[in-house]
Amino acid sequence: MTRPTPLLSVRDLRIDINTMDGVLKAVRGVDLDIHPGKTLGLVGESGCGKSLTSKAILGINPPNCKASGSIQFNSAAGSWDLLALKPGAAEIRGIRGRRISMIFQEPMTAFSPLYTIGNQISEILLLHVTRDKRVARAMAIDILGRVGIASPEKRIDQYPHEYSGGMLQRAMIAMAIVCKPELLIADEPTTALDVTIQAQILQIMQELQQEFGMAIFFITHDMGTIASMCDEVAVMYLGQIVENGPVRQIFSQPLHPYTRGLLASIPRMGMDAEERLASIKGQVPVPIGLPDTCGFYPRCPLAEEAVCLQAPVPLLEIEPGHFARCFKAKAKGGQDE
Amino acid sequence: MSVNALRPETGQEPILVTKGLRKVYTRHRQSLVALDSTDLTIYRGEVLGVVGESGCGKTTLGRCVIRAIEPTQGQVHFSPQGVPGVDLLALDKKTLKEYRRHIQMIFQDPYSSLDPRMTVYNIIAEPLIAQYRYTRPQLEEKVAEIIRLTGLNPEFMHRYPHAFSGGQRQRIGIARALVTRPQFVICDEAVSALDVSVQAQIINLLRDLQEQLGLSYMFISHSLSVVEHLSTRVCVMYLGRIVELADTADLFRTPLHPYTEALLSAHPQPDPDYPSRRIILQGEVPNPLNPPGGCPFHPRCRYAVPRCATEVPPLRHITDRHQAACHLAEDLRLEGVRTERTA
Ligand SMILES: Nc1ncnc2c1ncn2[C@@H]1O[C@H](COP(=O)(O)OP(=O)(O)O)[C@@H](O)[C@H]1O
Ligand SMILES: Nc1ncnc2c1ncn2[C@@H]1O[C@H](COP(=O)(O)OP(=O)(O)O)[C@@H](O)[C@H]1O
Ligand code: SF4
Ligand SMILES: [Mg+2]
Ligand SMILES: [Mg+2]
Repeated sequence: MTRPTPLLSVRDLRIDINTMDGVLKAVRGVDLDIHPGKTLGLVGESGCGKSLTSKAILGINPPNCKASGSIQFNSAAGSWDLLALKPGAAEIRGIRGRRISMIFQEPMTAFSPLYTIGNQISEILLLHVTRDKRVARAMAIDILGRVGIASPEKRIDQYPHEYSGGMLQRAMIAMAIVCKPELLIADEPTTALDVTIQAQILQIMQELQQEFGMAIFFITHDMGTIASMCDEVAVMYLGQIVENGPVRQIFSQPLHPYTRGLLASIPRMGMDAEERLASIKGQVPVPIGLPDTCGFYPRCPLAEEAVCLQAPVPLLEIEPGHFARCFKAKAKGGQDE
Repeated sequence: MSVNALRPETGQEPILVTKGLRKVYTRHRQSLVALDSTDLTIYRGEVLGVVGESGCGKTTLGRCVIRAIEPTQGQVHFSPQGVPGVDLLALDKKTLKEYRRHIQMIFQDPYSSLDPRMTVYNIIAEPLIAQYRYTRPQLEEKVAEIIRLTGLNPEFMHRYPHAFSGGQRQRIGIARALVTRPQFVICDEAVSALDVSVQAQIINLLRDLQEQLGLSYMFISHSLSVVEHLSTRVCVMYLGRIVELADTADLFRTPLHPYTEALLSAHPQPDPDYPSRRIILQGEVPNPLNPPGGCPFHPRCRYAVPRCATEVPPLRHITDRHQAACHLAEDLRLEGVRTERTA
């Protein structure tokens, strides 16, 4: 089956961080494809390398993080290996905020407290889209209305501190999509929000995606949000993608023991109250001086030395389009027990 | 109803009863009613879940009950076994301290709630040292026992909290709360900061301890699925008031308050095929400094009628075991969580 060219292809992305205790291998050979107009979810527990991966796309990791590999961006305006672009080069400035933009968990980090919301949105438009200040202002008002901010013509002249948390989240989305990017990276965009506000924000993102046709790279630790937002899912553990596939298959036929463990440890509404939650034994190790063999081995219920530690595990295509980094993963009917 | 009245349907004895509990914070000469006219009964051996979005008053309720903050008004009748029942709010400081051994709190943040300069042993032993005269061997035995019960490694007793992961620190917090062998424990977002795989370990631990030690919990959380999993009954709060209270399965399957319905429908289910008919509430929770008149939920309620804007709906029994604060509770047919069993 041939697939259309991905909008973004990450290949063998590695990020090393020099720390006092040694080199922390935070991202260890990540491959990802994001297709035009689709949503790819990246899910994993805190510290597994989600944010570093997503920030590498925009080249905004701190200087002590050394990245290698490639990040091929096939935009309507041209193709680039984003990782090969010099920080601050004209190309990356033309891409960041214009063709790829990002929203975060904490909206305050996206805004300066010193300028009005309107000024900050207009500034991006003036950089990429128009030279006319009145046009920029009109577009800013329009986009604020679009994300559900009431009386945008008044709100536009307010400062970030005059917005509530939910409103600021909307304003950040407005700022991110005002140039109609081809790719929106959303790093835990609703983690700090209450569920009813989260539902509003997720709905807005879905509507905007339908309207503008943008792809979304959706990063979260929450399997519930993944299920309701994504077309494809990549599961990350200890700096590696351990499973990757269509959302339905990930939830109904998880192949990797980590994905299975994760799904089994979520309390679900309506499950038998007497049922105990499954949990994954032990805890995530610090990624310093790790072997190249399976990172999940010490916690894995299926671990078998002769099979699992023979070599580094590649991401294996177990079913068409459904990959797992596990020697014991089998299509249909699960694994060897 | 007397504070010692048994639960009519089940004959359960109450362990804690609040009456008209109210807390008003005053700041810059403005009054904020964080908790209003709260009447609650918690029965011995049960887990009462408390859910609601941030700022609705969950922590205030928990802290008023244990008197970590002083309520503005109300009563908290506490009837532990083996000691006389009391109104905690009427006790003097010294007697209150004696009762504290029976009622303890577990907090959200395993990082900030443990003193980084104390060893694990001292953190856990402190509540015992502060209040009771135990010999060193007695102390050590009590600490060792709780360490075993909470699944901590006794070899690590003389380390400092920074050496532990989030899940381990939460176990330390639990051990500290349980070392005085309380009968009633308030868990305030006790698993909210943990990653799911570790969260599952702590949820299982809390449930095992409850069964082994015969504890009663007030389990506060913003997470509907965690509350559903652990609680026997659940109350939903909105703007400082209880808007619904029922047995867990009843509340999740047949909610009687429009806010509960919206909350349940907004919860993202970890199932791509879940037939979601999401109710998107308009706007945000109103400013508690300037709450709406009538039903506090009426500006966001899709079922509101004119009466809702003027008349406060009291929390009342719609059936024997199901209370709701909505004028229309009998007439609405609200949608709950769909499960395999109801499908
Ligand atoms: N600037 C940094 N310096 C040192 N360690 C870092 C830095 N940024 C991230 N890390 C470490 O790298 C790992 C991955 O971090 P991150 O990508 O933020 O994880 P996630 O977003 O999945 O929670 C973690 O162990 C984190 O502590
Ligand atoms: N010390 C305080 N002073 C003033 N207002 C407070 C204080 N503590 C809490 N509040 C307010 O009381 C309300 C209820 O807060 P809280 O009980 O913490 O809610 P929850 O735990 O449900 O998030 C909120 O509006 C909050 O801002
Ligand atoms: S009393 Fe009225 S406004 Fe309040 S929840 Fe019921 S129907 Fe809605
Ligand atoms: Mg992150
Ligand atoms: Mg709280």
